[in-house]
Amino acid sequence: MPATDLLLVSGISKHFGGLSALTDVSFSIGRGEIYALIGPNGAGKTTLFNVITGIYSPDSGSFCLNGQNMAGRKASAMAKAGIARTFQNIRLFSNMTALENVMVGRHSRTRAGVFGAIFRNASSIREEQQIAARARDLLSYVGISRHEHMLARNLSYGDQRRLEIARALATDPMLLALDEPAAGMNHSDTDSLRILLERIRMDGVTILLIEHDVKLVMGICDRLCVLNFGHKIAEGTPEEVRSNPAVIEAYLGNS
Amino acid sequence: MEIFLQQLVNGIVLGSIYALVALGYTLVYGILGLINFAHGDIVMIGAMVTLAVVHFLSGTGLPGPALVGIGVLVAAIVCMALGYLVERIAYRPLRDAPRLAPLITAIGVSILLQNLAMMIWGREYLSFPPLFQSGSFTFSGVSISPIQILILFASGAMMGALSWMVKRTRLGNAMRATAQHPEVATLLGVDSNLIISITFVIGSALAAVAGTMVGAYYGIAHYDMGFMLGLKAFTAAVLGGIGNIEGAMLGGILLGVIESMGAGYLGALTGGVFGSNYQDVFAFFVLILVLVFRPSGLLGEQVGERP
Amino acid sequence: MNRGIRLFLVAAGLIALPFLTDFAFGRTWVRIIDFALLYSMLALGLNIVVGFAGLLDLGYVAFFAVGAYLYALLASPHFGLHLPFWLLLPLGALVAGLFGILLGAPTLRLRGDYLAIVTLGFGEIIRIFLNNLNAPYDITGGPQGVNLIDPITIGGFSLNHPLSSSFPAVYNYYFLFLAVTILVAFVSSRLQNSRIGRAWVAIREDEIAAEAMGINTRNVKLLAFAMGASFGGLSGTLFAGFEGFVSPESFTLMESIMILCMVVLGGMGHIRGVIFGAILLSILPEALRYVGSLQQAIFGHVYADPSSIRMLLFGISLILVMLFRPAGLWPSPVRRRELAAHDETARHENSSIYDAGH
Repeated sequence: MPATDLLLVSGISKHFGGLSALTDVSFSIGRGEIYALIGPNGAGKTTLFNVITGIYSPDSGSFCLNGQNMAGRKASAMAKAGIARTFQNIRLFSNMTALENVMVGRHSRTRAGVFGAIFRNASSIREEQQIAARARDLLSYVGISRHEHMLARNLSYGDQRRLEIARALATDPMLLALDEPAAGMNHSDTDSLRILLERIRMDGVTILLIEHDVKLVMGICDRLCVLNFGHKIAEGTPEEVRSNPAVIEAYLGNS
Repeated sequence: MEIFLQQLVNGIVLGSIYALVALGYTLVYGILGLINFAHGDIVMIGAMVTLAVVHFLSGTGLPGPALVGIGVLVAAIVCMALGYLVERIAYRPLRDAPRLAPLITAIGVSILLQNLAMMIWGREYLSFPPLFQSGSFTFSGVSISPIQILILFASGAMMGALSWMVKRTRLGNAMRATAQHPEVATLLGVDSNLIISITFVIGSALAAVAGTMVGAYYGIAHYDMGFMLGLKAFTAAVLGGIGNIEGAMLGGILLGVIESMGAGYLGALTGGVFGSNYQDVFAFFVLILVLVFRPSGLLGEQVGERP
Repeated sequence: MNRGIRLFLVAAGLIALPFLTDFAFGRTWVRIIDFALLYSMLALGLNIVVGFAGLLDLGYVAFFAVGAYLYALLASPHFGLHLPFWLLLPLGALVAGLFGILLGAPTLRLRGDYLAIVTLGFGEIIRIFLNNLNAPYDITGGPQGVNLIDPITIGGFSLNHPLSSSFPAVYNYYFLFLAVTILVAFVSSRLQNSRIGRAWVAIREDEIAAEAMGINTRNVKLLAFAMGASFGGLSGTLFAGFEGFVSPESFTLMESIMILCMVVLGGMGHIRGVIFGAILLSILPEALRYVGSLQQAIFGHVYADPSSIRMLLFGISLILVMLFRPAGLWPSPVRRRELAAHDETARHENSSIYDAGH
């Protein structure tokens, strides 16, 4: 397999009862790419996303991260293997502070157990300091360090979105999967999100993006895949997709 | 075989009482997501009030069934008022509070009602006078008493009426709407506070009837009879899928049957190691087994882990 | 106030407490305080499961029973075994912890109130077994329970022996229970402010998001059950040695509910609040015993059964506290923590919010 592919999705299908949400979907994401998944409502984007992040397991097909087959693993195993995600309807730990939220993201990269917690031996103290330091860095990376002690539920909407990204980055992902990160954002928020995503990519993290904001998608992604009724109908660069008649009919035509 | 059929009949009778009480839990749970811990004690109050009325009128020479009829009517009115008050005072102010806060007030109400009953009616077991014709009908070796028949018919009728009301009437629609989407229901002009009050009142009326049935069936009433009964009924509601009306009925009857089968066969099945004193273990064990394989109960919605 | 001075005052108060209580209210009350300490351990244990991890457990008293029966059976004439206390105390915690995992495992997929009813079922199952395992072989002593349990003996010194006429046995137990309670509170606090504690809270807040952040929710939940249960086991072991007698009656569902009330009423998730709730609810029913004599004093006659009035008032207080303080009497000071964020200097002084300084 080509060493440049980070994620290789092949022939994924998923049914719910008699309804087939995904039919034989395949695509691949190269290292360092920003890759988008678009399609009208009900096209199967979120289902695909949930398969890749371990919430659903696919009925058939497989997908490999870095050459390792991941299909059907638990969500926590996905995070450990290097796929981190955000949620469409923000799911922060609302009664924890911003800092604590990001610290939770370090869970799978740290080890201290009950013994370390109770006895606070040198290595667990060091680890705890590293967790906090890394979390603070990430808060400032996404630009909300001034709110580190605020409860997540009291942050503004845009800051909650940023916090979710910081929390996901705390798992040291190879692939950052963002479920409609611009949903509900105003114009200037979207602009700064675009800058943030560019920066994350520059720092070596590959990004998978589901997005409704076509302008943002076309402006930022390297390649994209268009789904309709659970089938892949097009794939390519924004220019290629934009001129694809099937896409115009299915998606751009009615938006 | 005869033992089996006999235990089946006994189980269904017991189960239909559980089902009536379970409906009270499930109605409230469906609409508020609250375990109304005090519901079992409302059942107890129902039994106590009926008993008090029967004693009061026993000198009048009215026939037994008429006494019970008047008694259950008074008990229903008292319990409905009580249910309304409990919701108003102990649950409504906590509707937006942390989830466990109303559970604790419910426990408080339960302790309050039990001790109130103990102060009014004393700590002794009170006996129900024999109000129904004794003796029983026997069909091919299986005997069934008049009161068992009455319980079956009365609970069947009430469950039927409730199902019809929830499915077919405007009030039922409003109840279902409030349970599913409280905000939307409010937008559509449903007065959710009123609907919640009505739900409590209906549940309490069923409780009064169930309390009378238990009292008359076993012939005794006691201030803490509601606790175990409530627990069993809640178990039944969960078994069937809490929040689901048919689930409560199914769960109630199933639990009744499981218990009486347990009482009848547990000793024989285990070579006498576990006797009928393990029947509660058996009931809980079945519950746990069901929930391990169907985490939302038998008829509960199997909601997948949707993000 | 300086931290050192405050610590000194608290320590002095705790040491003086049994003497002052004895002097002011009599020896019975020292015994009540001993029980309040046992309940504090139980409440702290349940707080890990309910308060931290958000798993509603209505059968928690089962672990108290496991600890108590373990001690009762291995240190009494019942089987003729007399194992030493220093061995049984950790063993009680360990076995109860294993029971926590055993009972926790089938409930992992269950949510909220389904979990509540299953844990309730387990609690009842254990009690019913304790009640009936006297036939065909007598294991638990059945409804009569186990008698003549060895008193707690440390280094050859039995705590049942008064040190002197002014230092009775209840004082011995007070200091032992105080030490264990402090240990349990310390462990709770260390766990809360750790990677594990954060994972528990994350599960409480949003299980799906927690799993997506790489937390193996199954293991972390089982760990919460095990830790909570082991505190219950500790408390049970101490209880058996203190009482000298155990029977299934001490482990009813009502006890589980009472412990839950302590946790919620005090302030779920907040260690000091939970201890406060445990002490308050252990003392309140005892204090309400005076209602009878109060009636006598005021009206010259006892009108109503004092014990039912006492529980009636107890029920009313549960309702009133929740109505006026739905988050508990002493909830965790998250709000204070939030306010500190707006104060730059406070933030720099407090280099880590995990220094349990508040």
